[in-house]
Amino acid sequence: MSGNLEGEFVIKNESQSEPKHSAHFYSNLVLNPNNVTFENQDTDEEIVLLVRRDLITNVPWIIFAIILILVPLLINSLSSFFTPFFNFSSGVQLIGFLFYYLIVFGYILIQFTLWYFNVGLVTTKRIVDFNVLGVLSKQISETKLNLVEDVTYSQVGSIRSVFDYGDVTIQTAGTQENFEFDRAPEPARIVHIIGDLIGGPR
Amino acid sequence: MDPISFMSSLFASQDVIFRFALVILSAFYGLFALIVAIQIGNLNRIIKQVGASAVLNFLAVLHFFAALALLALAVLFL
Repeated sequence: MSGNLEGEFVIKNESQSEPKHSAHFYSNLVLNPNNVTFENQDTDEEIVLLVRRDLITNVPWIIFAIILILVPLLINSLSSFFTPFFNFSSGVQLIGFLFYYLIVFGYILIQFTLWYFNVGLVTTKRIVDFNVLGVLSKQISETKLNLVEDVTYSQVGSIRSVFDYGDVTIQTAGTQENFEFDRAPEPARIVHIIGDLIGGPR
Repeated sequence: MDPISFMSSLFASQDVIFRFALVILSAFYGLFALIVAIQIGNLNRIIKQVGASAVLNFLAVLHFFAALALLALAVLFL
C-alpha cells in the first residue's frame, strides 16, 4: 500500500498550511517564521506565530535618542555663553564628546534590545512568552496549547485603534498563570490564529 | 580655606577634575558595556533569529570594545 491509507484524514489549520516567511530585525508579527528558533524547541515543533510589540511603541525612545544626538550641537552653539565658567582643554572636550555619544549609542542598543527580545511565540505545541524587563531582568513563561482555555484582546484608546495594536490575553486552565502579549500588532488576527490552534479551524 | 577661595580653586582646576571624572566614569561604563554584551549573547542563545541575532551580537561587542578604547584613550592621553 502506498501513499495515505484509505479513509485517513490529514487535518491542517489555516496557519499551518500558509507558506513560511522570513522574520526581519524590525518584524513585529510573522506567521510561520522560517529563520527563528528558541531554546528547548522540540525537533517536531514549529513556530506558527512570532509577536513583538507594535513598531509604533518605539517612537518615544527614538524621539528621545534624536534629542540626545542633537544636544551637543545646541551646547556648541551656546559655547560662548559657557566659556567664562567652563574652560576645558581640547583633549578633554574630545574624549567627553566621544563618551557622550557612546552613552547615546548604548541607550539606543538597550532600547532596541528590550523591544527585540520581548517576544511572544506560538508554536504547534505551546505558547512561550519572553519578557525582558531590563538589562539584568528577564522572565520566560510557557504553557501547552491544550491548557489554553480562552483568548481575548483589548484595544483601549485612540492611538491603539488608529495603529491597530492592543493587548492579547491568553487565559489558561486552573491555577496556571495567564499570558499577555502586550501592545501586539493586529490583535484580532492573533486571537483568530490562536483560536484556530486551540479549537481547530473555524 | 574659606568657601570663596575653595570655589575659585575648584574652577581653576576644573580640567583636572573633569579628567579624573572621565576616567572613572568610562571605567564603570566599560563594565556596564561588558554586562550588556554578555546579556545580549545569552538572550540570543535563548531565542535565535538568523541574521538579526548576529548583527545584534556584533553591535553589543562593538559597544564594549568602543568603551574599552575610550577608557584606554582617557588613561593614556589625558
